[in-house]
Amino acid sequence: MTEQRKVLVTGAGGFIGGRAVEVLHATGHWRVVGGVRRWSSAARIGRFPVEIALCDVTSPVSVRRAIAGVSHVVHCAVGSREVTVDGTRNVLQAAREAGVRRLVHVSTIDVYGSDAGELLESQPLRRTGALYGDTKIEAEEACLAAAAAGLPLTILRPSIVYGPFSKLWIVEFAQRLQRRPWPLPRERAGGICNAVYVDDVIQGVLLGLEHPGAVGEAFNINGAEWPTWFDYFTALNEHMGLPPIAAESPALASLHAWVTKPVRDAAKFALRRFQPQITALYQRSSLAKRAMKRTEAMLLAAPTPGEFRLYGRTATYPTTKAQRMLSYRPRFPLDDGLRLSAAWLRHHGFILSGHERPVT
Amino acid sequence: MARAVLVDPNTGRAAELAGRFGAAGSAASLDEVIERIDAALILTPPRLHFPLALQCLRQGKHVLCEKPLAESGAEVDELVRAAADAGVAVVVNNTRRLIPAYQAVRDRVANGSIGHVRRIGIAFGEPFDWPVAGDGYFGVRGGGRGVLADLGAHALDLACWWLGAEPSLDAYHDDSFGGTEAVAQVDLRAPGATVSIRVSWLSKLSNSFRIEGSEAVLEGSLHDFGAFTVRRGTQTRRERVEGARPFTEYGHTLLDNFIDVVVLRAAPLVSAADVRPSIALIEACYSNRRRFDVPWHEAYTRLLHD
Repeated sequence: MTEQRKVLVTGAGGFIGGRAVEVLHATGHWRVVGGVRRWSSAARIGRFPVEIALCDVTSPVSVRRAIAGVSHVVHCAVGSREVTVDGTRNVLQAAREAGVRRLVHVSTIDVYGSDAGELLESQPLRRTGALYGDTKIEAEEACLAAAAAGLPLTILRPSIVYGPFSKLWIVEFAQRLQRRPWPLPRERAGGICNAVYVDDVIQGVLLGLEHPGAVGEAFNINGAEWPTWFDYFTALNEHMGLPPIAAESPALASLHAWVTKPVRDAAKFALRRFQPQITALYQRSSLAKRAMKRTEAMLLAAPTPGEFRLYGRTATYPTTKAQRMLSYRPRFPLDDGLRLSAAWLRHHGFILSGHERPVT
Repeated sequence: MARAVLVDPNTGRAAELAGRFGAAGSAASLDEVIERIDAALILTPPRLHFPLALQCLRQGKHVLCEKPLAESGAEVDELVRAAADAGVAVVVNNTRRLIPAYQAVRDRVANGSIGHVRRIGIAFGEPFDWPVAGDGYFGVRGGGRGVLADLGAHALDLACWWLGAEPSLDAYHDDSFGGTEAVAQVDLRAPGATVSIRVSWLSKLSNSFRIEGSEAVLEGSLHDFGAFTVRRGTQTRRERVEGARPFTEYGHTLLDNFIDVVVLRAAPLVSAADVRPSIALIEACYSNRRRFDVPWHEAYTRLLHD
């Protein structure tokens, strides 16, 4: 490596952005700038001798300052419409002004909507009314416009990204699996999980930054196996060393989901409206504290109707294009990825010993 | 009537806060104001505590310092000497020593009611959420000292204080790769006893303590300032302690004490000498640091070769 290139990672306080910073630094080929919205989200990347910069993507000034002197950008920041759409526009604009050599935009398979079957990159993007997918489509549209105007960029569409630091697919499932009875029977979780280990997504990021064939293209980034959701849960359960799952009956499980929906909605509403009062009550009354903890535990354990729809879906997102054009090859079979994730869970105190496990 | 000046290299922020809270003014550095003050509150990132405290003490200014007071036992000794020479005092913000439940725990251990202490375990961790306004906490700018110097300064001080002795370091592990560690494990040894402390900036730990004596076990939540549990054989009893208040109020108590120290020459509630054992241990930890086994980090090498 003759020249050390400098890469800015936006959303570096998050799950994928954080891992991108770690791996880019560890390869020794990059000077890395971790862009965070707030200093307080830098605890993870602060473990490495990387530069940390404030990069609030909703502020054009903040983005311009963070991107100054950078040759490459990995754009992972995501959030509200303002962050995902306007933020992406700001990053693209600043990248063009700064003459950035490559930009990798981390998108999602949610841009395909909720169609079934094999979904390839040539598939039209489909809005569903869900904020995440719809705003990610708008962000991709902004990317295409920037690419047409000459910015060398690559769009990655990772599937279900799991691994250390994944709140959604690792930490929350680890917490659920430790509550029994397990509420997701095999019959209700037979859809395809499309799990991809976070380091395989980072492989996509590295290819997007360097591979000549990546410019101006969008790529599905998925794992090598397509387990069912039930396979995913049971494998995680096993790696965590928990007793085998004995699920409740399919009918009872979906009843549970629908029955808890009004409670969930009411709790969300109440928290939004009355948070200070609720917090005060929680601190003052041990009875209220116990009742709230029980409700929280019940809601955590019971899947929502929306989750049941996800766990039943049979769409797949083949990576044929990334394999053909970039030689992308997933390096982490599900078993390896979950073994590493379980070791990480243990290290961070997420796996409780038998007597500490809550009962719902 | 006391007047305050806010000092911060971020002068805009210092001026804004001075305006909002009615302070007498603001400045970019201690040098600009040191001639004009009687006392200083040092609330900077940890690595600046010692040099700033020493500068104040040498010029005869009393000091209230955030924890950890310094980075080594020798630095604490130097501060104690400088304070004595100038006839001023140092108060340290190890506020947890003021919490009634913790004080009651200390009394139980000190009066022998749980027998000989065999093991102390403390787990203290929450995802980092302190609204820091600068980059002085993390990475290279954080001086490579992270959660151990932050939450660890509380946990180690409690362990030494409860034990009433200065344990020696058995092993220290953390997850620094050249920056500030976010998870740390300290294993200590004292005659007949071991101490295990885990602190984290990345996840919520049990936030509890457990002291195993030959006669009884004391357990409690680090967030419960007014109660703990005593287990003796098969019997478990919950002990309530009077006077527990919300956490921030202990900071007020220490501030009141500092004013008494400055004005009335009262004794500090937490002195530099009090925290010396835990500071010396933090120093020992950092000079013997080893990395945790972290296979999930090393796994990236699989991406580099086929």
